[in-house]
Amino acid sequence: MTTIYIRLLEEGTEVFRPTSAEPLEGGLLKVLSTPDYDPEDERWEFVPGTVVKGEKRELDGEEVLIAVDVNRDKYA
Amino acid sequence: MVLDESGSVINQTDYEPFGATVAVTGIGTRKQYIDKEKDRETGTANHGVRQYDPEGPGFASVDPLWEKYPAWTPYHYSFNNPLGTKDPSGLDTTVGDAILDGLGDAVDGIIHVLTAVTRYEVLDGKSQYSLIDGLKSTWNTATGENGTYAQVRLLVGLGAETTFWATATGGLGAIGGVGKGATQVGRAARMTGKSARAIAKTGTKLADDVVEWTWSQSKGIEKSIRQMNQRGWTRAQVTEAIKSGQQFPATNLVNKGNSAIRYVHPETGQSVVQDVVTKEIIHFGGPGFKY
Repeated sequence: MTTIYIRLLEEGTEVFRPTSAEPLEGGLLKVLSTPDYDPEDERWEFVPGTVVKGEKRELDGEEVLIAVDVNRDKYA
Repeated sequence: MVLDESGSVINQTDYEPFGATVAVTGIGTRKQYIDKEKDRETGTANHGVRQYDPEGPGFASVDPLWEKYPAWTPYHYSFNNPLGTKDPSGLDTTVGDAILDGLGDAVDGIIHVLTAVTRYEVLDGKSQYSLIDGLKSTWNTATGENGTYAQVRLLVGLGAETTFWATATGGLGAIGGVGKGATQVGRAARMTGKSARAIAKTGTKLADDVVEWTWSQSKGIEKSIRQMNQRGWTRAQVTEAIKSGQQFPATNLVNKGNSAIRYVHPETGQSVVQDVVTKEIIHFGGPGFKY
């Protein structure tokens, strides 16, 4: 299990929230829910169950893993 | 009323408005109407520069300041308004205690209302707490010409100036506003001093809740409040964060032309983001959120 940060949408600013992720083969991660997950309160860029890639990013002066689309590099 | 050391009443004297004695209970005292000593031979009271006859026509000699009040007889007492004013020195009229209290309430109330969103100074530069003393000379000058009033200059916002006159009657005050910012003062004019104070308290609270920040219009009040609560914020904490939290520039995705600031609450470590222009809170951060 690892901690990954998910971008929140419709928040008015650029913000990420932490959640757990299950490591999969090929370095992929499966986003897991949080105990207080409420889709009406928070709109996650990747909802629980989505498979994502982890990408290192510095947030608040700390290097963390954020969730990105597994196909992002294909269309970049 | 005169009391002895034990607090028992040894004298109570009732007076007519101009000082004529109505009834005396207990032993006689030297000091009588408005605490002035009475000459038992002449029956007049020592009011400093002049003798005053409360049973008769009034002052026994001409007002030294008669040129100041040409419309009045030089023998008048307190502009024929002994309930609202008094003349203890024989020289000039001062404002009675009831009017002082009322005027104080009125001015104080207005000051409270206005200082919820602005700052002020009294004409002579004295502080709010010495407001009465600071305005006394102005009142004296004004008494008899336009009633009793205090003149106060207010600095509203960034240098705009307001002047108003506070008048009081019978313990409560009413305010009339003129000059720049008269609208604000005019609203207050319809209030008595006491009600102005009550509104001032509300105004101060609103200042905490509304003036410094407001709800996001795009998100809506209902959703904003729900998010605030779900993410563990109270209104007071939002205010605290803005007042004393660490600040960081933030991306404004609501009004993209406006800048935004993220404030970190000093105790919880959670953030709120405020639109600098609209003062809206466009984001309530939850525990562990990163930016």
